Amino acid sequence: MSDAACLTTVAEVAENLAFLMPIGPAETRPASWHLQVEVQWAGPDGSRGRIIVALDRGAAEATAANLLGLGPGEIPAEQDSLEACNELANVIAGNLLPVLYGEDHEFHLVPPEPVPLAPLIGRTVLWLALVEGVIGVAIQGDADNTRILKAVRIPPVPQP
Amino acid sequence: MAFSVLVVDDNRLMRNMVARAVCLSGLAISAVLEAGDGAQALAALRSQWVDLVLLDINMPVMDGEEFLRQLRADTALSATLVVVVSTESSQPRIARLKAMGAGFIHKPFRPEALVAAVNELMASKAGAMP
Repeated sequence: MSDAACLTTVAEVAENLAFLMPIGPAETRPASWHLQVEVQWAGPDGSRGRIIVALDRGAAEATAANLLGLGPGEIPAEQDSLEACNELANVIAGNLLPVLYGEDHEFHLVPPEPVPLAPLIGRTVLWLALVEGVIGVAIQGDADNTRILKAVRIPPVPQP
Repeated sequence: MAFSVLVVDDNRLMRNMVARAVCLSGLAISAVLEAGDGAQALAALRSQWVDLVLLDINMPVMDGEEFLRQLRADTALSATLVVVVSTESSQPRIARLKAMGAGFIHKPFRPEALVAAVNELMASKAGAMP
């Protein structure tokens, strides 16, 4: 699955869940992250991994303000920002896994947890620019799990 | 009919948002209650009347699928309308939830999707009556 399809999925969740305004791939990285949340997942055949969603201050505060329905200029409490970003990460992970692996597999998602701020690394790292800030998403773990990939691979059409 | 609705989600902000969507949906609502997991939801259902449960799946303590299983096994509660509101995309799991009589809407969702799911459930329930 292409990074573009994954980025589109992240953008759709940001827009439809948190009413953020996606611009496209981020050309510049934020000077620092404000929050990072991980969602661990377990899939078929013992496969497992984690998806880390990172938000700069603008993206985190806008996510919380929009989920809470705050008015312009109102700043959400830090705990609200964390809970909002947890939910955003949960929905991003839930929507990304079937894009990566197909809808025939069952995945168990562990409830999201904040993790210490760190540079994003992984098989795939996505950077989404928003009007409000930047969201980074790192996909780590068994993203290259050949058993899953084999299960979702479409066989070639036989040639006559 | 005015619905008493129970929103079950481990995330407080998401409960708040789903509750707002319920109020925006145009459905007649008499009360909106909240629970943070499946066990809390079962306790709430045993202490007060609820017409409709809006249920998340991925929750600690008791997840949505186990909640639904226990609800359907409880003769006093088994007829309660349930709409699953989840990021779930696994077709086998969605089929399993629907086989337990639940409607399904995918997160993120619009209020109109909620109305459609509730109407579909009520129609199928009416169709199943003798």
